[in-house]
Amino acid sequence: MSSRPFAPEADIAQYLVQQAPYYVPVHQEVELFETAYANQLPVMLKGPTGCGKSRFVQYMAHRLKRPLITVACHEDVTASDLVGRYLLHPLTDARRILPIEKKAELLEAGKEFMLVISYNPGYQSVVKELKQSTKQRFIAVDFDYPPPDVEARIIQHESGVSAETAAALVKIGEKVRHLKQHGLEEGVSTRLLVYAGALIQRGIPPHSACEAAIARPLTDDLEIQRSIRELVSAVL
Amino acid sequence: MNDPHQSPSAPDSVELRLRQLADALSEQLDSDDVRETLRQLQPVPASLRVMILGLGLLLAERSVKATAEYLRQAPLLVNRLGEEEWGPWVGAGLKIAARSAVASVRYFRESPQLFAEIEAVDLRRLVIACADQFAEGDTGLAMELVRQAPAVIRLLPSEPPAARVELVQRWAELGGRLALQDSILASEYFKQSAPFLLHLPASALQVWAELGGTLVQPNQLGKPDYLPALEYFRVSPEWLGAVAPSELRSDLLTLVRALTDETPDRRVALLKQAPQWLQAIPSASQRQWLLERVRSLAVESPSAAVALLSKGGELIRRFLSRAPQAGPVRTHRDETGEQEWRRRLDEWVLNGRQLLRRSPGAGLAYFRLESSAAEQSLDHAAGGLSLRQVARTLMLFAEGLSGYSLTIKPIERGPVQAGPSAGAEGRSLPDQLPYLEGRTLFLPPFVSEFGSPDENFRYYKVMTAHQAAQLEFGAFEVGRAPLIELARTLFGEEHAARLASAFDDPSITAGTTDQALERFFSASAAPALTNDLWKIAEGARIDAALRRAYPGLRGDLDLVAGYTLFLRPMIDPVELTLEAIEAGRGSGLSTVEQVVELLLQLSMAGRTNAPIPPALEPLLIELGGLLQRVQQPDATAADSLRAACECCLFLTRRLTGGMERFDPPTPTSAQASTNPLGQAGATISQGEPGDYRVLTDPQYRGRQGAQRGPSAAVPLGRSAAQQQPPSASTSLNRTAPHQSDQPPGGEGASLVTGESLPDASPTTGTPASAGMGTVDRMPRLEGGTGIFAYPEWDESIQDYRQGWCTVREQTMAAPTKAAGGADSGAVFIERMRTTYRGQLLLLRKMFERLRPDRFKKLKRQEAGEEIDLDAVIEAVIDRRVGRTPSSKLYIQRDRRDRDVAVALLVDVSGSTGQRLLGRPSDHVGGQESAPSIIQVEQESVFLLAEAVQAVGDALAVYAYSGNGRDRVDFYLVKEFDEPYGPRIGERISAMTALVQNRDGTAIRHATRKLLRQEAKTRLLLWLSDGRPFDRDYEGVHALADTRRAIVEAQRARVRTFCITVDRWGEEYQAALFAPNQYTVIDDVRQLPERLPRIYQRVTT
Ligand SMILES: Nc1ncnc2c1ncn2[C@@H]1O[C@H](COP(=O)(O)OP(=O)(O)OP(=O)(O)O)[C@@H](O)[C@H]1O
Ligand SMILES: [Mg+2]
Repeated sequence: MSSRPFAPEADIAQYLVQQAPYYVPVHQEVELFETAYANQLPVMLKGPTGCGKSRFVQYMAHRLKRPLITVACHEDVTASDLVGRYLLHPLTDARRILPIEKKAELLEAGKEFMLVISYNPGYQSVVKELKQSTKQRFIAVDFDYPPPDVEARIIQHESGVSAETAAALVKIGEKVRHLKQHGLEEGVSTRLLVYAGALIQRGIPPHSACEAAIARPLTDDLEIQRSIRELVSAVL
Repeated sequence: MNDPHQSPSAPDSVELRLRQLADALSEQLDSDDVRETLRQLQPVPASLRVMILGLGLLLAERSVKATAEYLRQAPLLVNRLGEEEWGPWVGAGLKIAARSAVASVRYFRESPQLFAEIEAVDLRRLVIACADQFAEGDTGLAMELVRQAPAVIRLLPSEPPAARVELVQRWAELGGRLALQDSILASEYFKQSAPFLLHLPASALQVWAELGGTLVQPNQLGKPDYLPALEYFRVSPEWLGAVAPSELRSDLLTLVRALTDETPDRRVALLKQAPQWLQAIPSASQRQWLLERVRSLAVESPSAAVALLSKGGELIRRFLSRAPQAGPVRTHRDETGEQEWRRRLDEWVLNGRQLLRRSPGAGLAYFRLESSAAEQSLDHAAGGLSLRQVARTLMLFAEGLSGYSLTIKPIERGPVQAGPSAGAEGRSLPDQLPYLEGRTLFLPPFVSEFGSPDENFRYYKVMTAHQAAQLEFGAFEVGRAPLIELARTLFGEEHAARLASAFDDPSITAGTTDQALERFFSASAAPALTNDLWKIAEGARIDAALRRAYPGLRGDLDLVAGYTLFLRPMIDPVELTLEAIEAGRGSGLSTVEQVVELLLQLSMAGRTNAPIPPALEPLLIELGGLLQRVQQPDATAADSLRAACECCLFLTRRLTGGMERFDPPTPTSAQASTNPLGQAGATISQGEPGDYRVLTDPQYRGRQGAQRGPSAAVPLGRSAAQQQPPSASTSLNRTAPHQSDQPPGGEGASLVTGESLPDASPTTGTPASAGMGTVDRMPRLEGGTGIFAYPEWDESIQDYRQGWCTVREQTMAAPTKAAGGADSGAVFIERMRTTYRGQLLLLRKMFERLRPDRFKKLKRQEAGEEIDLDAVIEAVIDRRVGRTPSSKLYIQRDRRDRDVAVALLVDVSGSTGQRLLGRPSDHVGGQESAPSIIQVEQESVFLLAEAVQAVGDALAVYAYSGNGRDRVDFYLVKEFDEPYGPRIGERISAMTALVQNRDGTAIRHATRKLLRQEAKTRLLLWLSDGRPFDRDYEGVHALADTRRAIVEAQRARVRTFCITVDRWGEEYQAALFAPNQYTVIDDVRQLPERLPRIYQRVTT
């Protein structure tokens, strides 16, 4: 059983984020993240899908000049695949070690190593909720859809639409998010609003753009789709 | 004796012949009789007498008795029948006598009387000829014909005579045709002909007789069954007689004749019921229409025709209930009312026929008014839209706009009004105004104000948006500070202080706001007027806010405002001089009322429905100026109230002082009146102008200022801190006098209610158009149970049948005393406790572990907050000695929140009564001792209920069975909120195998109950014993409906899991569920042990 420092197995430099990603800070998340980094604390980003978590991590990686390695955990990866066992727990507490059973190796995390997890609470079933024992190993940063003015700026920047269109899209977003509790599993994400903007910018009529980027992706329920359509046409 | 007929030529020979005949007859008959007959025949010409006697002699060869009768009757008849008729008459008698002496005696005895009743010679001849013909076949029938003929003839039209002969001939012929089938049938036909002709024309005889003929069909033995036909002839005249107008009677017959596919019994039954169905339709032309359509439909599908006939009344009633009111947008303006409904209903029938061609099943369901396609088509035909179809969309729309969680319910229909009347009262209230009550938005159940469904939807949308906006923009909500401030400005310091005390009074709680407003208004000189003006101002403010926030709604608002304007009373501008205004001429409104009305119109549409009377124009400009402010983006309800008060002051100042002092305001007076402080004292004394009648609320803005009550809606997005505390905001509880006696939509009886209607409730995802919209809540039965209606999916028609199944919910009755005298429930519990003592302990332990317990440490876990030292040491040792070490090295504090509600739904259909045949190995006590499935289920449920106790989940246990769609019995064994106790155990023990299982309905009902539970995880655990099976509920249909019910549950985010104890259950469970959503237990005896484990697995 050997113990050695966390050695790169591939050229780590290629994971450096080259260009500064566009990111508009919403609250204190940047400061919080930096402090966590300085204190070698793992961070958990919680929030609905498409509200800027990944973008934020990219932004921070660039800012801290750290390579960013992303592991996608899609729906079928269970918690125990990833966080149970020896995998994350010892890495995320004070031990900062990662035992690799197959190789009978024990990796030690370097000072600059930082673990960030991102997840969407809420719509996982009880079964797939993160365990308390996992959750309680992280500093949590809550993400939510950006406030209207910020969101409008983001949409405007990302899709190139006019301020007016961006504001309308934000308003549509707000209205559709009202439906979350009852018809929709989740409100419309900033990402989708950006998509809608992009479509409009490329000449798709606004109603069709919202249909394609908002109503349809969000739900299969025809009546909810219709309600969304009505909301869209009320705002536009 | 002066007989003109007596021929003088050969008296002797005639006399001789007579004597010979008499002698011959006397040899066979009583000679006295013969002599008597001859005596009576004295006046008759001798030649005739010879013929009479000659025929008598002929007859005597057949029957002496008949001859005696003949001779007795001959003198009576001789004056009636001509010489030429005599022969045929006796001829027929002879024929009869040849077959039956008795019949011929009867013939000769009765016929004189009968023929006496037939006046016309030709008819008599005809009847005799017919009798003669029938006599060859059946003497009884011939007799019957003769007997009935006079009555029949009397009922036939006498003109023209030739036609009458023809009719009688037809009548007899039809009888003859029936006689070919069976003479009893024909005889019944003759007997009932007269009653028939009392009600129907002779031209209908043919259909009637022919239909009778077709009603004879072979029975099971292959012999013809005459009974339905006989019954038909006997009673149909009376039934038909009930049909009005009478022209429809033969139509009905024609229709039933066309229904050759139906069994005779059904056709007879139909003929019996149809008059009742038709009677239910009030107007004759509607009945006529119905029969016409039914008849043409019968060509295509007789059963669809019957369906249409039986449901016609309902169809028309439903159509009329949503029939268009007088609106501005009519598609076919030039047609009469009658043409219009005919055209629209024809459209409905046509749609059905098209559907019928595509799918007979769907078509049939359509004409039976069962399918939602029928409903939609009816809406369409009526040119309108049902709330039911769009309730969910509107609910989501309102929620999206306002961010408030809302429910949509239909306004209960009051007595049907002919439409918004602008008659003598001028201001009568349309009964379909939308309004908000708490979190519930009431909308008209149906709108047809516009010509197309699309426009009607826009109408609904505007009503919804306006109501939602009242929430979004805080209509009629004035905070404490602004209200007091306003009071100070308008009514002075003293009043403001009194108002402030109303807020501070601790004894007034929920009602405070209303009372504060009440006090506020009490200071006003004209509370009703101020209130109306406030409504106008608020309406204008909300409209403006809506238009600003939702540019896309502007077009819809314009459309609807235009329509609403059309409905408003018109103020006739023409001869409106000041005197006329003063006299209130034209519109029946007083001057103030006119001004208020015009102001309302301007506030809605920016125009009025008639040119503004010039005399009022300056006034309105002034008022418009005062109202301008409420249309600004930051205006609040307080601003509206202020504007209203200012308008009121202005109006009372200008108008109540008398018209002679009325002078058009100068531009500067507008400024003056915006600061009413100075005039406050003067105004208060002026009082309400005249007896001011309050304004009718405009359609789309709805009943405004309706009380919102203590359960005021809570915005979804806002935190509690952002909400105004209720005591600091006010809402207006002032309704017009005629509104107050109109009860708001009742809770239980409404069609679309939050609880009982999944499609409009926020929690489910079933499309309303797919028919979930028909859960009618019926009156509650005692014992907290009730009756519920549910739709059912019909795969063959790809549609829901609405309100198809009836669930009777009842509490499972506690068991009766057992034979031994002990309470059988207690015995059961006792037995369970002893038999399963060990298992129960184990289960409790197991379930306790599920309970969130912050202090509980679980050792040797895969993951945890602490390292389990013992385990680590063991692992190190293991590794050292080369064994695979355990990975369970942590101590876990499990603090997961558990928020679970589970409904256990148990099938107790008859098949669960089946005993389990023990396998040979464990076959001990013979078959009687083997438990039945239901017993095993009981035990399992008991164990589970006991175990769940330990974890504290909300558990409900329901059992179901039933018989047919009208009777799905749903037993409450344990409700969610019932504490677990011996009573529950007893009810579990009372579960017995019952009848059948209509699974889909039971699942729907259980889902609905589950949705009432506030829990993060809702689980429907279904314990099924086998295939769904019920009357008309099997195979593909049952499977498809059950699957649909499960999908509905899942869409509403209820998790489903099925445990089936049917060995062969796999195949259909696989059709119903995803692989991880069911399990098949092929040995039921394992159920008690496995059920709790499954429960544990699926809830964690
Ligand atoms: N604060 C922000 N600044 C800039 N862009 C943003 C911001 N928030 C959201 N976005 C936009 O939203 C898009 C989606 O964000 P992102 O991919 O980071 O979502 P996410 O939160 O990681 O979602 P998921 O949970 O699905 O991974 C980004 O591509 C970006 O365009
Ligand atoms: Mg992401």
